[in-house]
Amino acid sequence: MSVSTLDTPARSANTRLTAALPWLAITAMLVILPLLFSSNSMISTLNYLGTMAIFALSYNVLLGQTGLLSLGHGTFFGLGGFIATHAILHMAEAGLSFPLPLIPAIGGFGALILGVFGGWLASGRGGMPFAMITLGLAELVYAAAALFPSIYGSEEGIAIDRMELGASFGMDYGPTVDIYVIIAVWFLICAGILYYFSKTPLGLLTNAVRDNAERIEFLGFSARRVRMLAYAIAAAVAGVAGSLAALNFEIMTVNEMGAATCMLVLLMTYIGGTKHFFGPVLGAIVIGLMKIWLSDISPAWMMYFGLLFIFVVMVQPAGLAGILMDGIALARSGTAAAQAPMLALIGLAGLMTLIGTIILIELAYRAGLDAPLGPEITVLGLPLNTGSVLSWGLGAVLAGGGIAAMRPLLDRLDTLRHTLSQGETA
Amino acid sequence: MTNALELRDLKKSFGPVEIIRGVNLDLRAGERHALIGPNGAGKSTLFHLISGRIAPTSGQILFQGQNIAGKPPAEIVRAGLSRSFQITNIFPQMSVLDNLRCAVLWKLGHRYSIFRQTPTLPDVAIECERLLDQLGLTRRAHDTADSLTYPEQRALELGLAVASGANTLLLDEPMAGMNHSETEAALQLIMKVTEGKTLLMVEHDMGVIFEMADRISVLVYGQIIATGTPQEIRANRAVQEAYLGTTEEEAA
Repeated sequence: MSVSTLDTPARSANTRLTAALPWLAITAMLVILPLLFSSNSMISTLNYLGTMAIFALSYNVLLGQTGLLSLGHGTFFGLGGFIATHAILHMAEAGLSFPLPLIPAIGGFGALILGVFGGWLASGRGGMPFAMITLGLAELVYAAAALFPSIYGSEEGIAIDRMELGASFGMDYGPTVDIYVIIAVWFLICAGILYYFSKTPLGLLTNAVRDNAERIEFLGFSARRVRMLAYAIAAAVAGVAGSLAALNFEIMTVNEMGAATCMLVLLMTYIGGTKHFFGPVLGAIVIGLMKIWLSDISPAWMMYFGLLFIFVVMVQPAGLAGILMDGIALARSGTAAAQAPMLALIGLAGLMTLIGTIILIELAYRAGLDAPLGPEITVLGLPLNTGSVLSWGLGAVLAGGGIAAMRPLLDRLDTLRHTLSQGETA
Repeated sequence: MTNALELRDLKKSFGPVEIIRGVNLDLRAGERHALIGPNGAGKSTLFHLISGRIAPTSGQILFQGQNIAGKPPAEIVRAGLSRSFQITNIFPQMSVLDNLRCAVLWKLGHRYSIFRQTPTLPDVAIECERLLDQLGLTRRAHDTADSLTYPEQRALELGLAVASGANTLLLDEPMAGMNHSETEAALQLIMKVTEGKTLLMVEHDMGVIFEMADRISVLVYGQIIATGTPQEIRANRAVQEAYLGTTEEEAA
């Protein structure tokens, strides 16, 4: 038998269409989204999510592809942003005309150069030493910022006027939607480049370094060189994302490259899923929305953030994308209907646990941190009181009942699936 | 006959303990050379020294006339000397095909390229198809390496060493942990894929060694106590005392 190991351009148009499908869907979505959500604040939210999606994709070059845990990826987001900011300020001062949409290329290129240098320092080894060195470098750059107020601004950061470079491509960059166009196009460029990169020889070698860094040395390659190149590429794309953030907010502050940003991108990428190319995008959208909306609704949003992270780590290490893929596999397996009642019960138990947990957390926050606001609180439409045993009991019963029911239900699902798969083979 | 590899008074100490105590060994170009010796004699350490995993304390390792002692593994492989490992050392989450692709990229000159997609490189595809066929792994090409059976993993381990295009191979117990019929199949595979290459192999199975080796060296307590043809080694009194005696009786 012969298994073709070569993808020739002539290889059936069908497979190429299948490969192009997600990209077409994403492009269509990028066009439709601003039409659906046309208010200024919604476009602004989309801009933020797009920026974070690019940032998370760049981080996954390190985490998912090369198996490197960087604790300082925010540095390049921030540095890219500052390079873009200064590029705009200097060009505006010199009266140069430069198309604003190309500014992220400057930020990305600057971050690439700095990334080569940072990668050279950090990539001698993987694992713990790599994580510690990236953390150290990030702290170093952050601390150094205080010494150079002319570069990083002081606490209020460095502000720009994105209209100063003048109009180009038929846009004057005043309206938020103009920035949306820039971000959407850059998203497609960055995602396309990173996807292509993952298929190149170097992309393959990054996977090899993740799996078994020692072995590639015995195949003629330097694991250090591979790590360094991956680091630089990730830095460059993070620099593009930082530049876009600067264009969107018209300000860059030192906080953008602090520890919070470094952690945020780690959480987005991991929760989204490191094993699928678009997992980090999913993570950026979910976490980004949580950050924007949940922080308006609840003082405990950071707590939910942490719980979601723990849930993903414990239940599905392949992240939200992994859960999605499991769902698709289930739908395709043809046994979805047979499993539906059991899955519905499990979903119900999960929902009970979720509601119970939310009630308990909200009550606890109101009773503690926000006690001055009074004991009455409405959670998910339920009128509760921090002084009432009934309120606490409701939360505890729901959460406890859900958790208690979960284990036997999951066991039954396992049994059911076992029976179903046996029926298939028989 | 020229020598592919020469070890000259090679020594390695870990702290005060000398593990390799002045090894001298010539590997002739094109021969199959077996390295035997009791557990703890330093066979694996010797392989680590030659392949660059650890640096020797003193002495020379001449590969095709060049001293490679203390050089990093990647340089040694590029010079044409590659190795396999006693404990399977592959890329577990990657497909069998991708494992082999990594192993052929350097010799085909693609190195760290970012300008072409690996699956579209015709030379990589042809070379990988040939290797898959030789190793009997064609049907498993798209399965992940960690889903292979143990003998298949050992075949892939061997394949990675061969794929790098080296003319001299160090094989560290390629049949370790296999049963009789698996060992026989592995032996045939090794003979097939290493044809025309110089081979230095650590092995415990005496049947295998006497069947395949042109010459045998015996390592005991960090020193080579004898080198010769299988007949010479069989007849060597020092070897019998130190090592072979019991095995010989068992085999008979």
